[in-house]
Amino acid sequence: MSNGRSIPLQAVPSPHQKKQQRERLLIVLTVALVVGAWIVGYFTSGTDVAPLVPDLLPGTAEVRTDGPIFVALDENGTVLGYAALGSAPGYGGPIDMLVAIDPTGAIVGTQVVTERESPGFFRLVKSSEMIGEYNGRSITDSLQLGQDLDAVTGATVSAEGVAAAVRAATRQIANEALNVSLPAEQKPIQFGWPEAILLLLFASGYLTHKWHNRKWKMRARWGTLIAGMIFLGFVYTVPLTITMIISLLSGYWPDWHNNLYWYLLIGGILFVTTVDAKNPYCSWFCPFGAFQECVAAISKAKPYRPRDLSEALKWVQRGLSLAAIVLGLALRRPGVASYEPFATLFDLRGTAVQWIFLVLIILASLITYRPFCNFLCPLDPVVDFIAATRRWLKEGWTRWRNQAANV
Amino acid sequence: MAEPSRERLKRTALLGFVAVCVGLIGLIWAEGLTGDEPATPSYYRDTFRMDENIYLTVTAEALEYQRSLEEGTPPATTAPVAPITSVTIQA
Repeated sequence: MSNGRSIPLQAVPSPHQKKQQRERLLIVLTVALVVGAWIVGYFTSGTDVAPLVPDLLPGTAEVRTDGPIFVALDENGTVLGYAALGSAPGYGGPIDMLVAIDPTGAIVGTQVVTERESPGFFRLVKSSEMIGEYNGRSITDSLQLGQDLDAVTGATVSAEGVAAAVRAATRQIANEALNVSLPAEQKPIQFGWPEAILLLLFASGYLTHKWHNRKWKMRARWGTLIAGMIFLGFVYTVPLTITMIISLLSGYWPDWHNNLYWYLLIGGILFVTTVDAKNPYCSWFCPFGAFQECVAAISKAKPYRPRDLSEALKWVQRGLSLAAIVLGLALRRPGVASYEPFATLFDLRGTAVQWIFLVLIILASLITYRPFCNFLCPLDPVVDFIAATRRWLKEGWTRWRNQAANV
Repeated sequence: MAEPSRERLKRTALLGFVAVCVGLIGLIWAEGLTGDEPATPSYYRDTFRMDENIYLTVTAEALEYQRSLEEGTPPATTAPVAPITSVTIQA
């Protein structure tokens, strides 16, 4: 029997809607955390350079600043030399070099002030003769790798960053302290085999994944995977890493003239993921993913992901990825946050811990399909995040358009 | 009966793998943040290193000797002019 009152209907969110709400809340929290880390990094990074000048110009009793130039004076007030900070993009971010030059225009000292490189790579630069090679050079020397300076095998981008930073500082001192006008530096665009191969892999991955013939699709996929493993892995060692993502977020964008590959790789992945909601990299030509698949093909390993643990394992992976990004942003050292074993495998270079990590992953690849990609890779959650944000924005855009049409 | 125990073993192995990897990742981060210089390989430890000045002197003499051989002028002596006087032992 009804009492005549109407009961207002309350919309009960479905499990899907609840999941969606939770996902969106987490997107907001993640963005807040990343922005917070970015702000912390912005305000805490930086080094006081003036105290370093006496190390490069012995006998310095006083350091005066004249704009961006540090002037080193002895006890009698005689100018011993000049120093300036030069900055240039490296692999993980800008490399800042302090360069000291005597009044005759000869370089008397160089010092790395800050760098954001992967420790393993930058160790190669520091342990090479390269940094000491500048001493005695004149400001009029070209100071180019491969011309009057030795390149550093295995850390080309970092070494070029050091050289470019030294050139920048030298140019500044020459122009502003020594009144020597140096010709403008030539920056030719470097487009070589790595860039060409990357574009080919993008194109073939994007086009062939739309094929309907399953057999040919599988063959094409194996073709791009093997090509990715050989060229982006073993030959050039240029896979996508979390360092690149952190550098992108930090604003440490390398010079596009000689780092076109960086822009093509990140731009291509972001473009395809945003526009087409497809991840063109991971399953089609990720070199480390390809290596794990080759190992799995030998042992016929199958994917293993227990349903009840799936969600927890996904959150562990997301947590690792977020921790790496927050760490890299807060410390403004993108290279330090990277933990992928790519360089250990493809460049045969790493610490004992990195080797243990790699061996463990290879052994696990014999038992289960792509264990690093499925449980540990920091890039998979980044792609998931872009996809979830895209869904949210697309839904908002559709709703707004419908409302506008009804009005 | 065997199937559940096998499944349990696989789950435990998977969780163990992830846990060990997370620990190793933590160590990799710690290494990157703290280790500035490369660790000395164990086979270099507990061996002596020569005094750099003496090493440079001997090297300079060796270079001089080599140059004199290349130029065809006979060396004054084949023995080092200044004998090695000290070696710094680094434990």
